[in-house]
Amino acid sequence: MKNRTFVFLAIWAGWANTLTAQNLPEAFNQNVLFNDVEQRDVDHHPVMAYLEPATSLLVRFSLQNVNAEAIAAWAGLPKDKEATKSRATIQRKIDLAMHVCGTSDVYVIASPRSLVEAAPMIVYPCKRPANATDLVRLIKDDLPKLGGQIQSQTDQRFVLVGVPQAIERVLVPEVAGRAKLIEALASFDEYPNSMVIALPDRVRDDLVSLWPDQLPPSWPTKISPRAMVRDIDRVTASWRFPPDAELLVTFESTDLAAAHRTREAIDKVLGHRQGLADRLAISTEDATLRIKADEDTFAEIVVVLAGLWTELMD
Amino acid sequence: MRFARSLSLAFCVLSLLHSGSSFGDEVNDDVVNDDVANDDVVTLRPMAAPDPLMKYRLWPAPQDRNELNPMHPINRALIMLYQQTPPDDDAWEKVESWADTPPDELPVEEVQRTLGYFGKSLDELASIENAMRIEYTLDTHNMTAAETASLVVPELQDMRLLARLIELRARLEIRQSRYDDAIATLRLGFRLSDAAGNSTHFLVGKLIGVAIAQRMLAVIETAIVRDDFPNLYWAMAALPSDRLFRMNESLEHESVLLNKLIQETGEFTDEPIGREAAIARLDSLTIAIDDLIRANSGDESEPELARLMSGVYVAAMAEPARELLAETPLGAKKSSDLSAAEAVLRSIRLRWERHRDRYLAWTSLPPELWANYETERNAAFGNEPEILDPIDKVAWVVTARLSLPISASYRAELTRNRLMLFEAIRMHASETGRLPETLSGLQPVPAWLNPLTALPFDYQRTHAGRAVVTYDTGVPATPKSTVHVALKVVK
Repeated sequence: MKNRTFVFLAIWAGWANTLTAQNLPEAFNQNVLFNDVEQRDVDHHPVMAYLEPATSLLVRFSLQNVNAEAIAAWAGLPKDKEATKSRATIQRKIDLAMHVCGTSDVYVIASPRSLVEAAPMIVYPCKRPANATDLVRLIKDDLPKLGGQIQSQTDQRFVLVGVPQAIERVLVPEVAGRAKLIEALASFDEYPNSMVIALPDRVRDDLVSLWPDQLPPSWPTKISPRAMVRDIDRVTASWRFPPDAELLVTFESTDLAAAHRTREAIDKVLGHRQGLADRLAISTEDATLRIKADEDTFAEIVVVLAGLWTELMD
Repeated sequence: MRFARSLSLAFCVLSLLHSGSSFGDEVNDDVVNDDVANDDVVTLRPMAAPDPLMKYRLWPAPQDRNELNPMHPINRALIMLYQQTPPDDDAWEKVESWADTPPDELPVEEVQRTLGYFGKSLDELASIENAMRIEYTLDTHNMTAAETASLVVPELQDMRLLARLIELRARLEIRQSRYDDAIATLRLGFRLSDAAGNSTHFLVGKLIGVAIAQRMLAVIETAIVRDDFPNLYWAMAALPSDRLFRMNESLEHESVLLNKLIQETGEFTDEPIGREAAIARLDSLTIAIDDLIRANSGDESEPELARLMSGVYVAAMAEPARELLAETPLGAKKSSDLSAAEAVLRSIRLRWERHRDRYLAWTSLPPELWANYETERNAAFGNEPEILDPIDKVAWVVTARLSLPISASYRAELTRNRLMLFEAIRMHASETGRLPETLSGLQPVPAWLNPLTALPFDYQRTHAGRAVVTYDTGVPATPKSTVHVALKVVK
């Protein structure tokens, strides 16, 4: 992966949390937007037990009704034989996964150290965990560079897939205090897929101290990474694939002034692609910026992400 | 030279070393093949030791050595070399091609004419013959890691050009049976080797020095098969191995670059330095690493990018760093209380120190003891493994992949010892009229050991005038392969 791509991903991951929230225990630090989320939902969420204090990213995927070929056709992904074959393989794996484990959502969790471990962890609630061995092998097949390092373990009704040291860590009971991640998922329940990024306070605090006030001059966008990581508390992306494809991204800032700065920064980023801002529905409510993408824009994003994934795997 | 170019040069030099050593081996390979196919042999003529024993010298006699510095005449010779435009555009190509031409096949007049173009350089160089005090200060001690890595040393590289001229002159003199002159010229070549290898601590300089010595030995190899060439056993015995072939100091010095980076982390005691101080040191280290990488790649510096990466690295490595430090005398409690920046900074220093010391420790182990410790040796200075962590990668880039130069230095010594074996056999044949039955029966002088294995050469006499010598070559691609040499004595 190129440095620039890596840093963009890292900056994306760093848009979270607030400096002002540092003194509050996270379990009680409910953002105004999520006041209607039942604390019970958070405490009893199936993946809560597998979060670490440093967990910063939580993704929920629904495998139900996923049609890889239909999504590819909608997004305009390549139709060559190789790509079609690859998608057929993915579809077979999804079908097998649901056959073995049922229709539960799949969760991906990652902390900053996942970058050096080179893999996040997959948490898959499974009705027959003992039968998941084949499934794990199929996942490894998709990650040839990491296949040797990745292991699986069943824990009650869950299958955990990741590097051994990460599995070992999450199996040690520990109060992670990462309700901020779970409550966001619960808040976007109407979408089958969601991704939440919220850095732990001390990680964000370090980034505020270490990151520069501007991006390298050779980069086209003139925004402050330091300000972004300071101002943005949590980023959530929620989506559903066709039919009724929709993508909603929210940036929750620390306060109104931070939200204003965040809006300015995002406008600068969007300004580099002519007409892009016009195709997005951008609204601000209190300190939260909501960006809804139309189907075409969402499809374009899928193409970009598919390219990034291919680059990463190469 | 910039760091990347320096590395490239080091590998070019290694290629030269290979070609230098394989020159002798080519002869032997031919012999082996021919031995099998055509029953040809390398023909050694009996030749007694000279009288007095040290009549011929490849290294200045103690009474001739002086305290002059050879670096000034060498640099003057180089300047003259640059100023002397040969009338022939392809003069240097010819010089290169003649390097592997047997002396008897050299076009004498053309070679004389070509050497004449560079006469002033060679005349100037003559004054280094006995000048033993090599002093050449580049003040790298006060340079940053990036400045050290991007240091340009063309004066070392271009000593190879001077060596080519010396080698050609020696070949010409052998062709003309002017053996005393040829040996004096070779002596000059070994002095140039000494200057290249020992004027700095740079590994690249040492590699150039060893390569020059190898070329001089290759010339000797073409000479000792001639009817009346003097026996150089004692002359080669007097060549100082530590000074000409061994690289220990240069190998140690290769850790200096990493050490400069280690110094950028600052000193630590058991007491935390505090978050702000750690962030300030980390920033300084970030810029030093970025400068080093830019010095290597030649790209423009982008400190903002370096700081972005640094922030991500601290976020990713904070917990692994604390876990690493918990295993040290600092202990788990103090480690967990450290700020992320300080934990990462301390862990960087610790990992780099471990890498440096593992490197220094294992490079000091002589190759004859490597055989059963390949894993440990590779972990210390073998080929760079696939590394995700950029900090570990930096450590490998500035110190790794040294198996090749280390064994190359021993192969140069191996060439010398193999030629000494031939000379010992020539002496033995001179006294007895035949080949020795065993190497332990060599008279009046012993065979030296193969420095790569610290074992004797394998020698089997097939009959009074024929023998086969087998030895470990130390070539990485075929470390266990042997080269057969058949010998025949003609009275």
